[in-house]
Amino acid sequence: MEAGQLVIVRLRRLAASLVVPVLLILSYQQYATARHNLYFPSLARIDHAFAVTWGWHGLVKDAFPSLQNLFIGYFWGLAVALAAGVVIAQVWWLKTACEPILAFFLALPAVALLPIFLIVFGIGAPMHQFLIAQAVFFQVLVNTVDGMASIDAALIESADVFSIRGWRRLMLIRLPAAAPQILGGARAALSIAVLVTIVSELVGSVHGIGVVVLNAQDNFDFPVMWAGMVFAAIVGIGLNFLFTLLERPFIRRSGLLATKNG
Amino acid sequence: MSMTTSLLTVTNVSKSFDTPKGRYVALADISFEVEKGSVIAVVGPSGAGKTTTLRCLTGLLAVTSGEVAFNGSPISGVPDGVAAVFQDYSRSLYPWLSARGNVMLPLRARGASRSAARASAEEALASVGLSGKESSYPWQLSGGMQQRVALARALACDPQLLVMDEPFASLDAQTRMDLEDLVLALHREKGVTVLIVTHDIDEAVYLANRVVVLSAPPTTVAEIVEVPLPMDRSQLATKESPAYIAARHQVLSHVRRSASPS
Amino acid sequence: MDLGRTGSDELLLDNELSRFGSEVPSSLSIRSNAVVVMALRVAGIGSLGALWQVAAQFHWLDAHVLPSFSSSIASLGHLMLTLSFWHAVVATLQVWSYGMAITLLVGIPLGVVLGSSPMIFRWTKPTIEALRPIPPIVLLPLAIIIFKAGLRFSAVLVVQGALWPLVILTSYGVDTVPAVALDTARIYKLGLFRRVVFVRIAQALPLIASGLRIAAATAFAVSIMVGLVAGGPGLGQLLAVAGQGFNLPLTFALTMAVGLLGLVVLVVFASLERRLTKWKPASS
Repeated sequence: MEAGQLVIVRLRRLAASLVVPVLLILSYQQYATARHNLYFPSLARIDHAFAVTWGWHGLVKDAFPSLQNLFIGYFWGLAVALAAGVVIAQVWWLKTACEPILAFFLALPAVALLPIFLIVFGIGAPMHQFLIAQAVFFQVLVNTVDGMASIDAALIESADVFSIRGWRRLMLIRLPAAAPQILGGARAALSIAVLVTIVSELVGSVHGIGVVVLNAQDNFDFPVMWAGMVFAAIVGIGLNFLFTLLERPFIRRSGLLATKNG
Repeated sequence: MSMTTSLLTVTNVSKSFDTPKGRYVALADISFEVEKGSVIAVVGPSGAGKTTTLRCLTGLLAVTSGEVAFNGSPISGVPDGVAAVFQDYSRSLYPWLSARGNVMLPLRARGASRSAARASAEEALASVGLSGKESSYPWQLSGGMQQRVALARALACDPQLLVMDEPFASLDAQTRMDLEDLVLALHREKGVTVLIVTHDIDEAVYLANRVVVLSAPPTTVAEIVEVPLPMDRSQLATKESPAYIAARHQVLSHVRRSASPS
Repeated sequence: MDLGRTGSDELLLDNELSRFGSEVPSSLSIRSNAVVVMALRVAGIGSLGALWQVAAQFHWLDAHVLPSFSSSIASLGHLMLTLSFWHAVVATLQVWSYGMAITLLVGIPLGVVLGSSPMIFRWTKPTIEALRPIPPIVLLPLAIIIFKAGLRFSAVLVVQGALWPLVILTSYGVDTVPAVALDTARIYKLGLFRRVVFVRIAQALPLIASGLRIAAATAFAVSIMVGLVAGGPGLGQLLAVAGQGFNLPLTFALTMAVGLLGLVVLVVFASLERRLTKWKPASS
């Protein structure tokens, strides 16, 4: 198939994927303009509010602090979890001893730790970052330990036969083999991190994405409320998309990209 | 060959696929006939499109051009009176059903009462040598036994045509021999017409009246070899007989020839 | 321990499939001895508790900030004797089950439809991929306005959190029915009902079970969040009140209670998942 045909196929797919969202947006607009409901402002008003709220000034004031906490918390949570996960997976008695504790913290919603964190850390950026890091930590840790532990025995045996040990075994064999599981945990942790970021701002923060939405609702400023909701949704979607892009090289190296249905 | 004894007539069948890289011609021109009560083997080099041919003949795949006639009328979709045994028994049998349950399922699907289906199932399982194992689940049975269940399931439907797609390829050589003899015995008993696709030349010549040799893609019928052996065959005697050796020689040389690009 | 298994979407499929085939490395007898395992687990919990007690005793953290382990446990004990605590537990579970019911009733059929038809899936996948990462909290102001405080508003949030993992995993499970199984169904002329229920759904059960586990855990988290942030009834609300009142032992006790309840939910669904995965043989 020539390049031209390939482009057409891709465009057609893109068009198909946009049909449903466009329909939804159009029907919302229809509803909003027809009903003149205060709670559902027209797209034009939301768009205006969006530009005002999330213009450069707004971004710096509210979005950047949130995102900064998110990235710092996510990064540290991920890094420590990976390191700890590798260690715990190696030492079998440590793994067994930690299992109930990890299970508990996995089951405990990160949001539920907010009151404790507020008391211990008070209000401020460190509190947010620690809370996010903690949420990310447990999710990634459990998946790292699990992934490392369920590597196909045949792979390990090959490594034994060829005397591949230590650091090389870890970096070239074990981590790539566990990568799908670890990446899955990292992605789930991302969703949790976004949720925790916004929720933690609802209690006692002055600036932040969640704060914008909450204040707007209290002030009955619904266009701004919607603008805030849309922005938060965009952040969630955008980060998820970013994650997919970043994860590609790792998936490709693990040889998993094109194996669906054989 | 008169049309009245022909169960399956394949006339100038071709099959092509649209792939991102262009149009792929799998089958170029296939024509042959399957007489009632005969055993036909289809062989060919690797990649010769044997399975594609089979799927076209059974109506699982629509042909691009040409005609497949079953009992004189062209097929559309899967015709009534066809049963199949596939290579991958672990995925063809339904793991949550017992052996009996698996055999009963198609019968129940066509409206048989539970007791009638159960009776037929148990009879079929007995005829393949699995009495006593009716309540076992596939994961409790060996590969050979699972394939016997698949065979019983096919026979319980009292089909006119039994189609087998590399049925013994996943089994060890001893089991393969036992099952080959089972197929011969069942053919003698029930007189069902058998169409078997296989990569094993020895098996093809051992089981069949005629062997259809396919060429490499774009596939055509390279040759049809008659096997002038009585249907009363045995693993030891038949495979040492001159007629068998001659037929095998013919088939193998045709396969070899059609494998190399012309 | 597979309580925390999640998977990124594209990888999830191969992840789950490879799990069926992989074997646990051969363990020494001491590792698989049930008594040893239990002892280690208890030791783990015990050392954590001891560490906490020591930290509180020696004031590693300010006494205003970290109550002792013993006082927290005592507070938890007291808590479990009060009626209001159990009312709250029931309230939380009410929200959870209401949300889960909707999630199941909508999610599984939706997932089956999406998985069975590649065309429909292609058209709706981007929308789902876009809706999924939206944190439930974002819908909170809107939901509160539309539904007012109450069960329905909480349920909407729970559904937003729990629905998508279930739909996606179900659709993957249904989609990846082996071609042979479908061919067999067609050859033997199995009707639509049998094809969908016996072939597609049954083959998809392990992945559906994973989806259920993730959905259940997420639903629980959102149920707590609703109480914590929006004043809906339940443990979340008790926790918020305790935190705002700076009642340290109570706050810690309630947090532990929430964790324990979440653990119960997780264990139930994880064992369901294990059971549904067991009958499937290792893929060759």
